[in-house]
Amino acid sequence: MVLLLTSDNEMFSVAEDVIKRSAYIKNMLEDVGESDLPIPLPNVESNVLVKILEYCEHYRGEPLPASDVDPAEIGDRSLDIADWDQKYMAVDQEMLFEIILAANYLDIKSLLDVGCKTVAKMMKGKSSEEIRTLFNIANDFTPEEEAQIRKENAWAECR
Amino acid sequence: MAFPRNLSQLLCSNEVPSQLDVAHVGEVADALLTAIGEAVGKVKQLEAELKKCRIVLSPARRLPQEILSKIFSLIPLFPSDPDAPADVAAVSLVSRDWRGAALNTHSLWQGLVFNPCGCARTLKATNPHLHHSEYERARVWLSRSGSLPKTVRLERPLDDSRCGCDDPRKQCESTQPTVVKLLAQLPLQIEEFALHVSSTGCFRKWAAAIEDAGQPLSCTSWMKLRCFALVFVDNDHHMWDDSDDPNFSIFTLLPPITELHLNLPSREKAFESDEVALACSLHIPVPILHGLKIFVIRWDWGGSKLAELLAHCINLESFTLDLDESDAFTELTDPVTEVLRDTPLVLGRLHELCLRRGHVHILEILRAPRLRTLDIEFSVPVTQTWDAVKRIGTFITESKIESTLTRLRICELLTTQSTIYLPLPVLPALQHLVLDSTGVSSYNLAVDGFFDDGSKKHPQFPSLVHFEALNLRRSSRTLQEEVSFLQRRAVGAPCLITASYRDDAVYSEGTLQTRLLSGKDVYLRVVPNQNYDDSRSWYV
Repeated sequence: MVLLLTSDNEMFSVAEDVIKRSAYIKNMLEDVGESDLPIPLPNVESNVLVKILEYCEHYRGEPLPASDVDPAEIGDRSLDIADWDQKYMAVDQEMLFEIILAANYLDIKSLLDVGCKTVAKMMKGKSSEEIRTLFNIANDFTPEEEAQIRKENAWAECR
Repeated sequence: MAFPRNLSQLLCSNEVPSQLDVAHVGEVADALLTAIGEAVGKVKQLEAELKKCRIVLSPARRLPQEILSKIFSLIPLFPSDPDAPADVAAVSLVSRDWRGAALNTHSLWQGLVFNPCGCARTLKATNPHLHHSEYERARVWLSRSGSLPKTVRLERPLDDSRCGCDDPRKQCESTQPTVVKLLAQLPLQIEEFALHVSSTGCFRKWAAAIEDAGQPLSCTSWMKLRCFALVFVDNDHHMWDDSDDPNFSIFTLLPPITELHLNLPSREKAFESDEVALACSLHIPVPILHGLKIFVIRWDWGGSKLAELLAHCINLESFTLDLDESDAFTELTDPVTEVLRDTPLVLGRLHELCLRRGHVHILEILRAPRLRTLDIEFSVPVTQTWDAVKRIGTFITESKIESTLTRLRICELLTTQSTIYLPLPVLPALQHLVLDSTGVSSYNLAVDGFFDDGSKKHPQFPSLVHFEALNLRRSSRTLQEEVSFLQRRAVGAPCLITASYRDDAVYSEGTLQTRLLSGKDVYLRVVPNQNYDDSRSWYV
C-alpha cells in the first residue's frame, strides 16, 4: 500500500497497482523505493483525490498507454469519450478543472486527455462570448484590440 | 409588516372596505411594489457582484497555458458543419491568456478553407484591394503554425450551382485570387492543397492562373506541394473531356507531388455509357506515378486501367481505392485482367491498402508483400459476404503477410443472421483488429482450417492488443463469442476491447465487465456510436 497526504492533511492508503497509473507516483516509488512515509500531494485536495482514485480504480490492471504521443500531434482530434469516462466527468465545472489540474500534476495522461476532451466538447460551436459566460472568464481586451482580432478573423469579405 | 387596525380588521372579516380604507390600502400596495422593485434591483446588483467573484474564483483561470494549449489542439481544423462558428477564431478572442495560449498552439493555425470568391459568381470585377487584404490575413494566420505543414482547401459549396467558367464574362471559381496568390508564392510553403473543381476546364484554368501569377513556376508553393487533392464535385454534370493525347492531358499539369488524392467524377455523371467510360484512360505522367508514396483515388470506371497506373507506382506505400458502390473489377474478363489473375501485380513497397465501397475482387490481381495495414469497407450483396471474406484470407496468404500484418479493419459485412463467421489465417503480428458492420450482433472469430469446438486453446491473435467491435446490435450474447475467443488464445497480450452499439443500452459497461471479463486479461471500453454514414464519408 502507498500512503498519500493531500493538501488538506488527509491521509489515503492506496493499493500500489491502483496509483501507479500516475506516472508521477510511479516514478517516485521507483526512485525512493519502499517507504512508510506518506507521499505529500500539496496540489491535490482530498475531495479531488477521491475522484482521481475512482478513475484509477476503474482502470486498475489495464495496460498503460503504450506511448506518450499526444493524439493531437498525430492528427487525431477525435472528441470521442468512452461511456464510463463521460459519466465520470459529469461533475460541476470546478471539480472538472480540479481533476484536470490534478491529472496534470500526477501525470495521469489518459485522465488528462479525457478532461481536455470534455472541455473541448463544452466549447464546441460556441462563440467567444458564450465561452466567456460558460467558464466565467473576463473579457480583458480593449475594444480596439477586440476589433483588430475580429478583423484578422474575418474571412468572407468577398463571398 | 403591521397594518393599521382597520386593515387588520378588514383582513379578518369579509367587511366591504370604505373608500378611505381603499385609498389607504392602495397606498400600502404602491409602497410594497416600490420596495419589491428596489429589492429586485438589489438582487441584480448582488448577482453582478457574485458573477465578478465567480470570475475571479473561476477554476478556468488556473489552467496553465500548456493545458489550454492541449485543449485547443483538439479543435478540428476543418469543422464538419460549415455553419458552425469558427472554433479557432472563438478561442483566440476569449481573453488575453487564451489568445496567448492559442497563438502558442501552432497546430491550430495549420489549415484554412476558402470558398470561391463571390466575384466569380457575379459579373463584378474582382476587387484587388479586398483580395490583397484577405491574402495578408491568410498569410498571417498560416504563419502562426510555425514549421508545421500547412493545408489550404478551396471548396465548392454543396449546392447545385455550376461554375461560371463556361461564361466568358465570368471567372472560373477555381481561380480564387487569394488561393492563387498563396500557391503562386513561396515565402509561405503550403504542403497540402485541395482543389474542388467542376470540370477538367476548371483545373486547366487553375494551372493557367498559377502560371500567370508572375512568378517562375519553380519558385511557387504549387510546384513544391507534398500533397495535392483534385476533387471533381458531382453536383455538376460535366462530361469527362480530358484529351486522349497523353501530352495534352490535364494530368501533365500536376506538380511533382508524393501524395495524390484524385476524386474523379462518377461514371454516371461524366459518361454517356459504360462502354465509353471503360475505353477512357487516365494519362497521369509516369514520372508523377513514380514519385507517389500515397495515392488515394475515387474511380468507379477504371476497371483494369487502374492496374496500368499502379504498375508505374513503384514507390507507393499507401493506396486507397474508392469504387463508389460500382461493380468495377467484378465482371472484368478483358485480357489485361486475365493476365493479372495469373500473374498478379506486385506492389513491393505498399504498407497500407484501403478499399472503400466496393468488392474485393481487385485483391485477386494485387500482391503486397510488405503490407502492414489492410482496411476494407465493403459494398457487396449479402449473398457474397462469405466469398468476400474468403478472398481477404486468400489475399493475405498469397501476399505472404500473415507474419507482418499489424492492422486489419473490415467494415460493412452484411448477413441474414446476427452472427458473422469470420475465418482468417493465423495472424501472429496482428495488433489491432476493427470489425464494424451494422446489423451484426457478434463475430464468430475463427482460424481458417482449425477445428474449434469452443473450448480449445488456439494460436490466433497472440499479439492483439486492441479489438474494436463497432456498431454492434445488442443481444443477450453480445460480445460473448469474441471475449471467449480472445481468452482462449494460447499466447495472448492483454487486450482492450472497444465496443459501440447501434441501439440503446441493455447492459451497462460495468455489467458487461462483470459478466464477461472479470479477472481476465481482456478489458472493455464502450464508446459512443458514430453515425455510420458520417464516419465513412468520402473525402480527401
